[in-house]
Amino acid sequence: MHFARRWWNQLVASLIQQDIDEELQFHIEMLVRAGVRAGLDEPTARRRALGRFGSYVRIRRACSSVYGIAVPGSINRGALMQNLWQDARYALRNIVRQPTFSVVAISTLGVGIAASTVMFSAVNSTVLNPIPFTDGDRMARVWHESPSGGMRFSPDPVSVNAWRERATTVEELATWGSDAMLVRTGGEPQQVTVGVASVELFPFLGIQPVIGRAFQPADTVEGQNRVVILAERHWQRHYNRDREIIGQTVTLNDEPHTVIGIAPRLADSFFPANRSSQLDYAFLIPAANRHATMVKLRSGVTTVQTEHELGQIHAQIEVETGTPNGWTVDVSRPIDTVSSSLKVGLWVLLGAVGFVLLVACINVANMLLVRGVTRSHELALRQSLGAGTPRMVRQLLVESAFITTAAAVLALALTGPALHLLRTLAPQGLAALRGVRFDTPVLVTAIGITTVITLAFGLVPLTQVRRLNLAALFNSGRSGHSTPMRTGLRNILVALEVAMATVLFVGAGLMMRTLMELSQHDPGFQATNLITFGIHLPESRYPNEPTREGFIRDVRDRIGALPAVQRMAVGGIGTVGVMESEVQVEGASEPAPSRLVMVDLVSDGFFETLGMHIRGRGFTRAEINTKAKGVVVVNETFERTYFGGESAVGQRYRAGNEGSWITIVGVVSDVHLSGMLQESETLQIYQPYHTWNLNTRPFVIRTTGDPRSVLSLLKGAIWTIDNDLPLRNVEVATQMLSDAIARPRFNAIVMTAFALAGLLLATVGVYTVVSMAQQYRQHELGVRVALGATGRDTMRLMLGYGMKPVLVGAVLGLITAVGLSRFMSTLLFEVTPVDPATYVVVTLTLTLTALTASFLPARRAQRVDPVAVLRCQ
Amino acid sequence: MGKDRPDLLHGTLTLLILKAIERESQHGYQIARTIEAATNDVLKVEEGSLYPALHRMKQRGLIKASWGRSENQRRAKFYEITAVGRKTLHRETEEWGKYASAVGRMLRTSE
Repeated sequence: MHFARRWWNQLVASLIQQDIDEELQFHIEMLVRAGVRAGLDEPTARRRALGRFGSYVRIRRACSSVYGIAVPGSINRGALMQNLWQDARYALRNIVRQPTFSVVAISTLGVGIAASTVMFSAVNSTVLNPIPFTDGDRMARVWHESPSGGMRFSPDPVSVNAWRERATTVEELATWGSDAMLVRTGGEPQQVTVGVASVELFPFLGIQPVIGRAFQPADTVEGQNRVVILAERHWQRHYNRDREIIGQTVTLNDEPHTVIGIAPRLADSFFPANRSSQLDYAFLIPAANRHATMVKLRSGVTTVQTEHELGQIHAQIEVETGTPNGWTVDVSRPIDTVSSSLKVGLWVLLGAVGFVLLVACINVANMLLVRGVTRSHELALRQSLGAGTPRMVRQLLVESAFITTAAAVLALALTGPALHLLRTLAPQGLAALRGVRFDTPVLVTAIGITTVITLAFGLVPLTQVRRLNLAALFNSGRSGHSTPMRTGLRNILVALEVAMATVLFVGAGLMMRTLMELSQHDPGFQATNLITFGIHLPESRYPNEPTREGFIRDVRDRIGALPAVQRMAVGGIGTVGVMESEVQVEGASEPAPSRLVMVDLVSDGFFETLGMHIRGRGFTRAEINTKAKGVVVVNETFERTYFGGESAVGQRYRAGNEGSWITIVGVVSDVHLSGMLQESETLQIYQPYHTWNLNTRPFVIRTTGDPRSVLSLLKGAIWTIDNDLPLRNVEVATQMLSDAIARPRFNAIVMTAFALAGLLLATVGVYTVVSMAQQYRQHELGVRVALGATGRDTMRLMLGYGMKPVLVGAVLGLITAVGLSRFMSTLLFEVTPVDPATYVVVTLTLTLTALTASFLPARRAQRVDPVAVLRCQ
Repeated sequence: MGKDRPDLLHGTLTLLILKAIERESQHGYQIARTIEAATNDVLKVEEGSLYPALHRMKQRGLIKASWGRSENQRRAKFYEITAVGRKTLHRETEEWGKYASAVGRMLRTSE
């Protein structure tokens, strides 16, 4: 802005001064004329006129100062402005006159800036600054933590209320959560997730409804609480931003709810959009209190202090209510809860995009160097004609300012679609990325990058002019032999480009290999033709276990009878429950320390339906029907952990050193949806489902064909039993597997795109160098051919020019890659950072590409006609 | 040059310029000549004072400037009196009259 204003002021000033100049010149002319009329000859008349006129500069300055324009000394500001204007026009002409150069430079830089802006946005909104709200840096989540620290829960309302009243380190507190509600779309019941916002939430976040009002305390009073706030995206999609929506009703759980407001998009970070179910979090309902709790710390207070205070209050509550549970309090900023592998992945990608941008810059610098050969003639000529260095610096700066400004505009145009692409690419597993926002710091960064590039590139050709001896310039004529220095610099740049492309390629290769390993990974069950969903039985209609058991039996009978269904069972893929428990194996002197154990609650036929490998046996129909207790199936990790190398089948254990003994009837393979390191050591047990009395049950169904096509049959079968039960969490197993590796796939895809961009740019670099060598060595080549060099010799010579920097760069890149890939090790799976196969493939690809890039200009060099070249000289 | 010519009192030049262009707009050179002619060359207008004064007056809104053709068909900047300028001229002329007669009276009495 500052620059623009100065420019504008200078422009205005120059116009005024031109005006003054012309006026004064006219006056002098009139004086001369009067002198001539009086009989003087013109030179004398002019001399007299000027003498009479007095100090031109002083008068001019006095006139200018009326307008607040300072004219220091005798420097002609008007001329300066005129120069700037000239420079601008000159630069534009240059840019238009060399369309190839301009287009390549602008698009290279533009894409580079856009890519880094987008990646920076991703890192910024997930890692650096995940809460886009006022005072976001003082906001922190509060959890209850189990004694071992292994489990975290949203805190209980009693504690929350106590904190709200007693905590002094906390400025504000807000809670939120979600509910499952029934929405009918086209007559079909659909289970949707509804956001629940405490009355404090909107003020806490400092957000206002787009229209309408936020929740008020009165909205939580039973009987007045049938109000709803719509998410802005839902309002847009379904109501076309109709402002009349306020006061109308929507039906949730078969009851009318009055729309009182529209929540702004900022609220999406709490109530995120869901691509597979567009109605999820489309509705927000009020509540006095919910479990998920966030606090705003008083300024200057650390999370540790708050944690300490809230912990003390919680302990007091435990004493007062007489219900000690040993839980502690954890206060952490959202930044601490972003998973570390997501963080590492994003940092690696940000590093990668930085490399791409660097390669892009180097490429443009290289092109400027090449162009500088012609430009330096012109600049040297201008210098000899009296253009001062500052003038030339300014001219070059103006020119590159045009290029980078155009690149920045292009980048800004690309950023929107690129962010959209990123959000689309980011799958279910990467919810954090779907909230990526383009915000001001990112914009500032982009502009910063552009400015640095402008300054750096603007002066490249000037460094060459300095080196150019004018006499040598004219002696060499237009052929412009490139000096060894410049060739050297270009070779260094190409080597650098190739090195960075190599690093990018190695990164992409390692991630691709990881992805391949992961997708071939055995999940521990057969995923094809497998579908799972849950059914929630409302308390009102299924008040006790017999009614629920009756429903489950009906479902099993009806669905099991469908010809499209091979097998079905109660139970989920992955985990239903979790508990923390000490395990004492029978015969051991004392229990092993408390650890987290995942629990799945299943029926007979479960392991067969999933196609899991089992030693021993699964549960029998009789065990399910008689509600047998004390039988369990464990996974191999459980067996390995507690029974060493022995088989656990038939062994017994108990939780802690009391309680009843549990018999392990079977051991199944571990279920790994993704195979990533984090979940490889999960202890899992399977219990008959009725050992935990729950309202919600998952089912697994193996179909004969594509499970998606069977889904409507499954729904129909369930709705013949109860017409009002929606299916929730419908998931196809193959899709679950695919989602489970979403993050590595995302990393691999983005990294590969970066690597390809780097390769493309490096290829352009190599091509440029060899073409230039071919062009500027015409003479030398002609002489060589005249002296008997064969086409093959010429080819070898030319390929040598191209390949030398490539090979140096590749070696440099491989060494750097070995060093850098250590940082990626947490992102890799069954691939070491120094995976030889990857390195070999990368080197081959790069070398071949570079060879191809050198080959075309080398071919042209082969066709040099020595007679023509030498005659030319 | 410049002997026996009274310096222009502050504010007087403004008044003279306004008077010079009271009937028709003129360019700077004409204004200087008009003033000199009307005062029988007693008052000599220095270019160094004239042009800054013109630009100041323009800024104050006493006169308007526009580019036009001079009598010899050259591009010249013409100054025209504005309504404000006219009002100022009348007021100042009156003031000047009082001032001049007061000074005259004083000088006459001391003689």
